[in-house]
Amino acid sequence: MNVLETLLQASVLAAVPLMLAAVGEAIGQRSGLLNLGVEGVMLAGALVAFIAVETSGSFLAGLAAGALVGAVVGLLFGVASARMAASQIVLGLGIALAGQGATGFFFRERYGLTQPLLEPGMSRPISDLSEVAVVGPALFGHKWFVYAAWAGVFLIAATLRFTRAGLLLTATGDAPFATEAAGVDVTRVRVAAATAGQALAGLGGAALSIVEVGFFAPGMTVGIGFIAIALAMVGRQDPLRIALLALAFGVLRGLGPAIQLTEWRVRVEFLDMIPYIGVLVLVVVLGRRVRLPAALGVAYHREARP
Amino acid sequence: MGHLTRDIAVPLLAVLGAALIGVSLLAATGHDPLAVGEAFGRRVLLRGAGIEESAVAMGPLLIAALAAWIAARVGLWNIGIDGQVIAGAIAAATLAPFLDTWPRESMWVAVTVVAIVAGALWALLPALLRAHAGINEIVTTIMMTYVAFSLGSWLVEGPLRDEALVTPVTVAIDVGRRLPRVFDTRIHLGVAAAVVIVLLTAAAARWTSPGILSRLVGESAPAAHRLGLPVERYVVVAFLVSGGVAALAGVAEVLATRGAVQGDWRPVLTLPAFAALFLARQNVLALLPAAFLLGMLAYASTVLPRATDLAPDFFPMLEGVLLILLAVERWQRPERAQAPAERSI
Repeated sequence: MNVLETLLQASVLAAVPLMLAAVGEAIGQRSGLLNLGVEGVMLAGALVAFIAVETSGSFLAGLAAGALVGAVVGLLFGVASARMAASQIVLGLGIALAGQGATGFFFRERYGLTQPLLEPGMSRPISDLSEVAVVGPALFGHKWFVYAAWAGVFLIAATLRFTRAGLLLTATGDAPFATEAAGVDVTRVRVAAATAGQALAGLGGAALSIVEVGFFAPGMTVGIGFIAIALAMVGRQDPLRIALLALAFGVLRGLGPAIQLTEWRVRVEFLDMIPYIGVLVLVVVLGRRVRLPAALGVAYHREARP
Repeated sequence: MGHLTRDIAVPLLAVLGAALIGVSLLAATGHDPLAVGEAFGRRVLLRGAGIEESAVAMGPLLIAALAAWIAARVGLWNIGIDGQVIAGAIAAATLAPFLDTWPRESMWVAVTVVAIVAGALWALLPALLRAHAGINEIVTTIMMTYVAFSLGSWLVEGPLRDEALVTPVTVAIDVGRRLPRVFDTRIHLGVAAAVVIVLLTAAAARWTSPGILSRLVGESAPAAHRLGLPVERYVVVAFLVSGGVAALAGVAEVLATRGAVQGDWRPVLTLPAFAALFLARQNVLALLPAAFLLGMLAYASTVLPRATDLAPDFFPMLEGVLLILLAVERWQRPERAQAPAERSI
């Protein structure tokens, strides 16, 4: 494979964890919940998935475990913020900190200073076509989970746009009082959205550890969870727009490894910076055109109807 | 429950709750909670040197918590404190070797001033975007921190590197020219300065007109605007001050703790700062005991792993649990929900 093919393939792969986490965060945001703890949830998903695969040998069990731990954290976040009206921002920061600490703690407790690696076991369903020039590896050379993730995002986009549940979700974030007047339990919708959304974030963490790299390291998300929050906002909570943005960030993340295959000598620190500067540029360029759910971050109190 | 009772009871209950969860986790992971508790008492809580080291560890946490408090005063979230700390540390480590011939007191002042400017500059972009484009500061400050991590590593491994050493580190300041210790303890002058700065901030917040008015901006920007206050200016200035204050934690690293910046140094102060801020229930004077408690945890995370075979991340995890418990108490009152603040990303 040449440099361009490597870059494109690595980009598509690197986009997956970010895309899942950002779409998950977007689901929560649509319901009116802003969860700043995605980074912690992704780390938890990454560690639990890694342990599950390492003990059971099954990637499916790993993915399920990652999604499950995300769902549990999402459920707790949803209950605390929607039912108990806890401050969403403080709660999110707490989840980020506890997630970083807990994953570091449990990883060291279990593995000490060793760094076990997983066998690359996941099948590549359409790799026969990956000989096609330039785009072949990027389109056809992936493990099955990459295709499943993209299919899932399209499915979520369709659900949000065309089903009653999707419309209720959006209505809950935009006009909670009107939605409640229409006979919908706003609190329940928000708890469900937080649970499902953070399950996706946990799955994103699992994708990072067991699909993309095959190991777990404390702090391995290096801000992807926070970038996911930014993409959910800038992508206006629309899964397809978020998926495209995630793909662009996959390219930015893939640039580092790709450039190191070339003759150019660029300091690795500058390559590391690119995604974060990318977010800043994106926010500056698109920030003013962003429209957020009207009730985002605001606790819902039935008795405080305007 | 009265205000004062609540202000004391809630943090105590949160600390107690976090401790209980910590004990259960210890038991669940096969550690002896009693042995860990005993080691904590013997090495941290009931030992003069343990208290002094905890106070040293408190210094940067207190400064970071104050930076978070200043931004929160005008209703902003400075989640990029770590980046501003790095900016301050790099500025200090860059300048200090050039002032070799200066008397050390003048060198401290010059280095501190330049570092404050560097920290404020690192907060400038998020501040301007927030004030003039309505762009939420949370995401931008976090991104600025990651940029600072990479830029700082590059500077320490490249232009600022001490060529005489194998590991990447900036040129160190001689021990004799670092901040002295106070009263024959392990506590250096920087920690004492941090306490004084907190007291001065409390006085300024209570007795100066910008200090009082900044509270109005934080409680209700639309109301402040209608009263004719320059809200944008308050937001920008408070954010720059917050960044400048945060940089002081970087100065302490260079002038006291290590005397230099190491290539892989990653301050982790932002989220603990918010744990201190909400433990103190956003009261600036209460930051002192709150930061001291977190300082004890920070010191414990350096000595207890050796004594009890406990992974150091146990203590950051406890801080996160504490922050979550405090968040549950900080519920949003119904009357707040009626006035959605001006929001954008």
